[in-house]
Amino acid sequence: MQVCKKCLLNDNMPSVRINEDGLCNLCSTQYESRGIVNNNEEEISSLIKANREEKYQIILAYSGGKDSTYSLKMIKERYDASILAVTFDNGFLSDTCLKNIRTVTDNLDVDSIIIKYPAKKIIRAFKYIEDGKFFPRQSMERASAICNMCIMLIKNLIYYEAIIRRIPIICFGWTPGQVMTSKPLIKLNYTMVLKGFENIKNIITSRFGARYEKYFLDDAFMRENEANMPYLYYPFVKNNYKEDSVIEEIKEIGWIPPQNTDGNSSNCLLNSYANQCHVSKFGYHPYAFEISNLIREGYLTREEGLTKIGNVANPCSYKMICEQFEKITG
Amino acid sequence: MNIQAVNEKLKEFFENNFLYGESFDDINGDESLIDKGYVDSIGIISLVAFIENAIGIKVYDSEIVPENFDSINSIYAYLKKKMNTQDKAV
Ligand SMILES: [Zn+2]
Repeated sequence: MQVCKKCLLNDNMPSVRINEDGLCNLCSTQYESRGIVNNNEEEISSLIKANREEKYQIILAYSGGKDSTYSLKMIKERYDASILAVTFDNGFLSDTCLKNIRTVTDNLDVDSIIIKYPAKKIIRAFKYIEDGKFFPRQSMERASAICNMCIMLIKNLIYYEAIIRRIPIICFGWTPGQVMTSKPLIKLNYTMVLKGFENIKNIITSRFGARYEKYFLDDAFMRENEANMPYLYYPFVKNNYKEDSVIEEIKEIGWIPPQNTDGNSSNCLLNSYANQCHVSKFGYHPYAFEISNLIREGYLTREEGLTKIGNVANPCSYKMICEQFEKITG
Repeated sequence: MNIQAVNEKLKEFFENNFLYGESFDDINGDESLIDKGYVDSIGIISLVAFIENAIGIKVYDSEIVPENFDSINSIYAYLKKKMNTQDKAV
């Protein structure tokens, strides 16, 4: 296996090729920017102003992890907006994470809701998709199958909550390594939103039946709300992202780092299991792509990245999850 | 940038980001990139970023629909239309 000498991509990843200089295909072809600048500050402020009479103007997908905590703090300080933090509890959030959600939303004076689906249903779905064969191969290079599934459930949930509550802006605290976009603020047409979920929705509902349909956006509901599609806002995309200062800043609002997660999660115990499944099946770390993006964009050093992906799983959490999965699906 | 140069860049972008050693020219231009599993929704967003940043064409949100981005031929048609209007490539 060859590893890129600039980032951490290796040629176990099917889209990666290492050239004779030791660079991967992404490091060797960085494009010079031709200067389309999307600065959306005014647009965001006017969206908030125009929706002043609504109960909330921003809904934030709040995982309780460090990045979404920092995003919450940032948007709270930056905008004069009423914010609803929505947490999807996949059943594997660490106790520290749940405590962090309470403390942080209290300290920031933000309303919070936590939505959890029944453990049996969720575990069966995760187990069914864990080997990744139902996902586009591109999705498998960027995250584990379980992580992809979980994010998809979160997106479906957040869109639904935003639409029924008439909240104009959805905020996701993705790092600049997770989403490479030129548009920190974007309003997607409902057809594009549905297209991204269509395949997995069909796979899950045909395997487990109509009782899983409610966890995905309904086509007719989306069509009826074509004119009410919320904007997506990624506050990190155009801000300098430094993990150390993120953690320092959120400690001030009571956030505590959980001790039982892996090196790449600051909220979810299931990630240890999801990472391990991915590494065993594909031979590369599911965070290698995100971390390599961060290295390439100058947010992380290669050494910092190496430390992060060296820590695949927390052994205790991994064992606990294996037992729980076995109990329900075994 | 002329349309030929744009197409060359698009091919390079596809081969570096979406294709696994396959040749861009071997892909059926009418096939759905999403249904065929070449690209996912985040891939579409990164393709838009590439069109804006590397080609210099402004992509409006309302234009990000499957009809413009879900096959190679629809992407070609979209880029051609954009280059023929005032949103010219720089
Ligand atoms: Zn590289």
